[in-house]
Amino acid sequence: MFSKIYDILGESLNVLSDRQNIIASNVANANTPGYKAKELNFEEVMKNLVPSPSSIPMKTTSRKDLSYKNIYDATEHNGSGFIKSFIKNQKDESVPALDGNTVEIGREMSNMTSNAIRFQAVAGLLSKKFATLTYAITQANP
Amino acid sequence: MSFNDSLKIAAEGLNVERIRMNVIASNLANINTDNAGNGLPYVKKEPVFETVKFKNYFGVEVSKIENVENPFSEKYDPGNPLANKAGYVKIPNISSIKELVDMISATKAYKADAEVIAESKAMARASLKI
Repeated sequence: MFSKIYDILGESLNVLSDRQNIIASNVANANTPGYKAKELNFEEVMKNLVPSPSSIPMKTTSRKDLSYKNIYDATEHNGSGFIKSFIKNQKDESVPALDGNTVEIGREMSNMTSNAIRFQAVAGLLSKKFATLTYAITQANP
Repeated sequence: MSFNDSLKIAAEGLNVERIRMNVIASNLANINTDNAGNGLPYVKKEPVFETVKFKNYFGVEVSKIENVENPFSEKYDPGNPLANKAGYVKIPNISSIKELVDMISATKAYKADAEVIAESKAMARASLKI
């Protein structure tokens, strides 16, 4: 009943909140000399969590197709080491300030807004998914 | 709940910018202080920001508040009790324009941190609505 899509959506919420933490780090260090702005590439992390598009169970047509094997073990990635391996310094596109700080506050703010909107979209999607389930449960036995 | 992390990091950011603002206020208040208690004029202070590891992320703190060593300015004021034989008084070497520019920078960074807190809150609310 609970297909993998719930895991994937839940995991993407986790990654988005990690990304929010990275943006918070950058903004907090906006005036720290020598600090290099960090980034967490959402697409890259998700590619590692969900190996291939075919592993997302969208095209299952019969019960036989429903694989009960986990495409990934959600608990396996909750260790701090996993996310850490994706935190990188931002590629330098602009000339850094004299103190060696590479945080661009405008970029961080726009990243943060798009991150929050994405998070709210995924959260909304997840809640709609649960609403569908609830509908099925309640309407079967009115 | 990992939103606590971004809230804490942003709060650290707010904290350092507030300290920076306090130091700027001290510098501006003492811009004409001839005697800082030791017979010498007030010396400009500056906070030193340092990145601190916060789990996987990066917080920030003020590691120390340092004196900025630059030579004092001199003002011709022969009536001043601190004046030397030629009639000059040593006064702090603080540029009010530079302090005001620093103040704008601190304010902007503070606003950015406050914005991060607001967005993190919105995200946490969204996840509570699932």
